[in-house]
Amino acid sequence: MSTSSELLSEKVAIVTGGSRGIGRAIAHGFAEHGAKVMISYASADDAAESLVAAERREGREVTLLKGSVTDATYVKHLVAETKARYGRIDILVNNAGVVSDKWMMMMTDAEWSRVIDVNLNGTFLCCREAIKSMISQRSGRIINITSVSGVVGRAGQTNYAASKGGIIGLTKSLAREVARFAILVNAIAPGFIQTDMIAGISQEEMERALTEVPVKRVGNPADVANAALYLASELANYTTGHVLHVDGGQAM
Amino acid sequence: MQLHGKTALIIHGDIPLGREIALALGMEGASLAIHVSNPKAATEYSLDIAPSDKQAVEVYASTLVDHTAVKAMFDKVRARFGGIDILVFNAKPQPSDTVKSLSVDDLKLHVDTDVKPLFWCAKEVSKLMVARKSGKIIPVYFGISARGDADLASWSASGGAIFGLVKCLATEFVRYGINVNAVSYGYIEDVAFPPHVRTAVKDYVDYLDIRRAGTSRDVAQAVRFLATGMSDYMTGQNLYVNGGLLL
Repeated sequence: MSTSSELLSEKVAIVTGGSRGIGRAIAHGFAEHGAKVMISYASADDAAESLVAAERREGREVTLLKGSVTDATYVKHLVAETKARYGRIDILVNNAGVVSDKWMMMMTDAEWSRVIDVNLNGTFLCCREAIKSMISQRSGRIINITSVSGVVGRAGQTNYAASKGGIIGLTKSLAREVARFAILVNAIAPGFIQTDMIAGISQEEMERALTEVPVKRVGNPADVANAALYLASELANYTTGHVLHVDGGQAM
Repeated sequence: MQLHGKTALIIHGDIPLGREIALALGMEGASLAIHVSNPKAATEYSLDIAPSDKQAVEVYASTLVDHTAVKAMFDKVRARFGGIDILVFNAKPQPSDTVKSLSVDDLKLHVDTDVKPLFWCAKEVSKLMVARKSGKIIPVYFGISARGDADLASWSASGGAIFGLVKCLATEFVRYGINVNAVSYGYIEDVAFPPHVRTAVKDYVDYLDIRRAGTSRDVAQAVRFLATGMSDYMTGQNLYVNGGLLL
């Protein structure tokens, strides 16, 4: 935590949803701390390429691989490619996620399924593939990005909250399954964080939302990235199955 | 060195956990005010770090027996350091037992050594932190209260009280830029569990999927995370360092 390259020196990490928002901050934070980072992203080519260019200018090791975490073939390829390039997988961050808010009465099957598919099924697919390598290494860290929504719920987010609550159950169960192989599995539950996901919210809605946040400010992606850095590093050697809230006190 | 220029007061800095926390914060560059429970411990205290010339390390003996004693210690720390940026409060291991065997005095001992001093320390430190509009308050305690342990009734009770207090302090002080988060540990090898619980601890550790007890260092690194700017958007939380014990 003191000098910039010491925390994840020589570690290999996969970050999904790594081109924008929280995932971008995590990929950047990990690379800054010495990790070699495979960035998985689904659509934002320009954002992904600008991130890689910026990291490489600093002499950091990052690679892009475009695809959807809902596609099992892509996920296999993502893990295989990471191993081929960097030799191992120490850290997996499941951050890829989408929202599609609507009152349940109006929610279509497709809106329900897409959110569950990307957020929950995508997390499952990536975990299942990555733990094969981590088990044979007898070490690894998995960090799943859930949400304060998955803990306390939010009107208009039945699909999103279900997917994020599902991630919490997955995290705790997988933590129990793989602890014997020295693989630690934790989640981070961010609150309101300044990303594209909340960019469409009106000023008025934001002010109302902030009444629920004791610190009275929206968090930065870097706040979440710092928590991920903590959980990925040897600072957190004895923590597993935990949901770390980075939410300005929203859900105590 | 994220804590350069910061001052940390570590309550019960003489128990193994307190020493490890002092080391972790000291290595991050913080100046250290270390509380110990008696003058003898103060004269014998030494840390295995060579502080830089920008770092000061002072030891303060206090019984923490009442508000006056706590206030006297804070006055000395303020006179020496000018303020406090980080307060780490270690709950101190005491005898414990089942409810059936526990006397009300044993229970009271926990309230007297953990809950009341935390309350007084929070009162005193808040005056200093409010003035600076920033600060980190980090209680460190055995997290069994979340699940209960038949042999550790008083630890469970005081832990519950501590965490209730943490959430209140977090809510009350958030407007002053003060973060209040606890570290809730599981079975840590250097913690002085009561002798009859030691055997049970071994059973628990065997039951843990991670198959090992934690170390004081594991706990200290969590404190380090909460003491730095890395956790600025967290408050009112309970950071588990328990090998998956209390999922």
